Amino acid sequence: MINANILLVVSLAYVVLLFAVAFWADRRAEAGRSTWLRSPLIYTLSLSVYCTAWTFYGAVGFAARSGLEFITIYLGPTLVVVGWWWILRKLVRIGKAQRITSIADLLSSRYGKSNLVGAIVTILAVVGTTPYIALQLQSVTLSFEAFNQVSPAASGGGVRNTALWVAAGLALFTILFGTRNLDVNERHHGVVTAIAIEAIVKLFALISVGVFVVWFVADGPADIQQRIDASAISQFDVDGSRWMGLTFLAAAAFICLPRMFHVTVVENEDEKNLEMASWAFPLYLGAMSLFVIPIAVVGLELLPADANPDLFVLTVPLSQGADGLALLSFLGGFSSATSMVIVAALALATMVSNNIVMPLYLRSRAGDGATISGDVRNVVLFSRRVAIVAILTLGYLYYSVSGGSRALSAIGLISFAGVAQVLPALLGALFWRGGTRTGAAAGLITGFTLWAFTLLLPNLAGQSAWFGPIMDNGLFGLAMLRPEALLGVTALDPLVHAIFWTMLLNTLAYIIGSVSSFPTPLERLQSVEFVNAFDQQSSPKGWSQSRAEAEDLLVMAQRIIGGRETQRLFAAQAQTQGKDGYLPDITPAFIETLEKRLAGSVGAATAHAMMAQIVGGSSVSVEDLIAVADETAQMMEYSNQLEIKSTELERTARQLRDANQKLTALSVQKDAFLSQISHELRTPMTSIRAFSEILREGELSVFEQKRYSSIIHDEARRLTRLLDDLLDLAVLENGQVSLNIEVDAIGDILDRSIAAVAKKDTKLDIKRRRIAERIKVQTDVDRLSQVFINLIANAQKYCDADAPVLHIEVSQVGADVIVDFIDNGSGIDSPQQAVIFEKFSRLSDHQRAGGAGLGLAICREIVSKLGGTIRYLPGHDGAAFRVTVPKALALAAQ
Amino acid sequence: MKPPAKLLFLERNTYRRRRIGDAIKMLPILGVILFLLPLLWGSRQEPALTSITGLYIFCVWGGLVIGLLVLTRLRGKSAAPPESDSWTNPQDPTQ
Repeated sequence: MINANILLVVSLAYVVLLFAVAFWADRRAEAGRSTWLRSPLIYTLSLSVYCTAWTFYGAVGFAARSGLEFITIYLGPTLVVVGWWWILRKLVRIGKAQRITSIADLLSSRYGKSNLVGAIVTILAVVGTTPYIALQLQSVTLSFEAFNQVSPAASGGGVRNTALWVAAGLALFTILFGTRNLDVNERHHGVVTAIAIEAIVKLFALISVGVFVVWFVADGPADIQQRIDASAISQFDVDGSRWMGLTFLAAAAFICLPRMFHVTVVENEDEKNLEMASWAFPLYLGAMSLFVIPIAVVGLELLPADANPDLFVLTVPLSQGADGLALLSFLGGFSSATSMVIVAALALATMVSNNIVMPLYLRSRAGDGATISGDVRNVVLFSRRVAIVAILTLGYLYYSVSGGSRALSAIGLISFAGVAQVLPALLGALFWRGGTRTGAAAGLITGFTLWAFTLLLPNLAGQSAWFGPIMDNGLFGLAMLRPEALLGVTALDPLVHAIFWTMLLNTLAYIIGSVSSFPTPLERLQSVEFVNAFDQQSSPKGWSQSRAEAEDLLVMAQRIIGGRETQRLFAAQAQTQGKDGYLPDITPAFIETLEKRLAGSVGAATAHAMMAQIVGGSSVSVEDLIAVADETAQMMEYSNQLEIKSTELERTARQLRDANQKLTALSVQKDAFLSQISHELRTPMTSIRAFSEILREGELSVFEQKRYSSIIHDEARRLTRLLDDLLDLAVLENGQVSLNIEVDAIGDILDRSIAAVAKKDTKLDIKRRRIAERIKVQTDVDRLSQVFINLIANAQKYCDADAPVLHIEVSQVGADVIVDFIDNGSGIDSPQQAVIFEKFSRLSDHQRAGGAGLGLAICREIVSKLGGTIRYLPGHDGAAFRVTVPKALALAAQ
Repeated sequence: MKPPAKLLFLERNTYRRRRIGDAIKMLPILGVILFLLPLLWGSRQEPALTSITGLYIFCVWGGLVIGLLVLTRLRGKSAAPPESDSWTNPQDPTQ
């Protein structure tokens, strides 16, 4: 038989083992050999702090009362961890980037490093966790008593104060290993390793009891199945809303519980650890819950009806005389309770010191500014130690006042619902940039108040007559305001009712508060940092350029994170800035880094406030933000311009290449032209000179005289025409031409042009469509007709078909008139097309050229003066030109 | 110049990693549906049995664990060396 003394010795020995493990792990970490301590396995096991004594003992009790419903408490966390990619990954990333120390710190940091939000969350967490700590103390006491009932003779005075001793011991452990030093990363290797050991102990204990029940009490799985089917909980008739509500609640609690946040985010060494935890932790939870139903069923069968089902894990082995197993099971329960209390106390103490004590301390010293004397670290550590003691005292008081008689699971769920009030603000912090401090505070306060009203008050009503009337008649006697039937909602289970209303109104208050308020610049900066946590681009810095002295900052930082660490940080910063020594330039980036490092020790809000005291005033103003935004905008503008310029350059280069080609072609053409024009000029000149010499010598017949002088005349005319053309072109090019605007139909202009050309030659067949030519144009009709004449004359000269045909097609597109001249000759080769409108260009066949190759160049100048274009129209059998002129030439265009 | 953020075409490995990430994201949704399924079982007169339902839930549980185990392993396998990975893809794959 195991008596209380043996129990005490065993538990003490176990506690000593934990101390030793924690001590060893801390030493190892200090020596820098902590790789093994950072393994994903340790991380996964540390997550098991979710499984408290409530889980260890209470799950079986829960199952004995309502069957499979207990499993929802595990399904929620399982789903959260399986869905790590959605929420946990982001939480861990932000936790690292912002050096978050607790869940209160996270919300405070996100909502503009606000003390208000941090304090609300801290109070909420303390109120929500205290009953839970009481629950752990109660379960340890109950388990002691369970042994006592079996061996009443051994009962002694020590057992009665079990809870007190346990609380004291845990406070000592937490203070020793949780507040030994003020770690910049807020990581506690000793605590985490001890918790990992405890995780193994409790899993091993529960599975041992399960194996014992299934294979030693019963005859294996088949027998157990029969027993389950024959038991009072054989039917799966859970209420759907409870099933969903509890799963949701457990999932929410897994994220929001201060201790869970601490092990998941704050103690996380490496984001990759999550990857293993994502499958290993659900496996752990599954193993923890695998034997719960069998133990419950066998317990219901074996033990008397008045036995407390919460203790089946202990009493079933005891009733079978398996004392060793019972002892193991006791240690499992003890482990569950202690690990929860240690981490919860540590997390809460961090929150209290960073979000309540430090802001008050700073405020009380506000006048001193940067010259606060003394080491701030001592204040922080001392406040944490006091907070740990206070929290455990609170838990103990709650336990002794409440009497510890109710079902464990009831308190657990109330506690869950309390901390779950953080969820809307937390999810908003991660995913909604519009969430503001006002909204977060409104949501938290609303949810918290409602939680107290709908869950805590009915729970207390059982013990106090004061609350009876409110329970029955509602607040202020209004039936609509009954705590368990708000607005007359009676169809829901009280717990689901509370979850429904608190979550609904909490979220509503958060959204309304956020939408109707305006965030400070710092809030907006932080919202970007949080919501876009995965973008690696650095966001605008929160600090503007400051005139603070590096030495002041060094002095302050030394008081918070210690001399050695500070000097290392400052020296490293100075080195990255390319400076020697310990004093870097005070750049916004440096201030940002330093603040984050400080935040890792004293929380975001406090660190920010301390920095502000030295750096001066508020860290960032709207003007700063705008300046930063301007800078960014300028950068973007600049890069845009660069991009535009580079494409422009590319385009220009291409144009230059084209131009070069054209120039080369033209140069060839020009050479040809020069020889041509000198030939053109010289030929008539030569004949004029020759014939005029003949005339001067006299002795010619009248006929000869006539003939020679008419040759001279013709040649002179040819020269004149050539010079006219050159002159005309020069005038047009210099823009000295004055237009004579008239209105006329295209058809009439064409008639005149054809008449002017036709007398020279009649071989060309011109095809027109008279109906289309009725369009009237307002332009310089003579000039336009000059263009037409040129084009028609070209067709006459160059169209080499046997039966040359020229199609003239007139059409109107928008405000423009288009006249196409298309013949059926062999057309113009594409290399030539590029240069035909250039001066001096002429198709290779010089023989047939009547002019000097200026015709099309003149045409182009004229049409452009008329506000239109003339282009070669490729894709036709013969040569095709398209003249486009505006229907009405605006006079201003001159 | 524009930040070289969103690449349209990825290396085969990176692409595979992202799709595995997608699959991991879908698992909890599948889990929710499967865990809610027992609520639709049985009738008022003849509710489902605890033993059968329990077995089903543990099977789903195991399925999720194995699914995640396989997916995370696959993801690890298709991982490029860290430097080159971060070089080719400075942005987070899911954002």
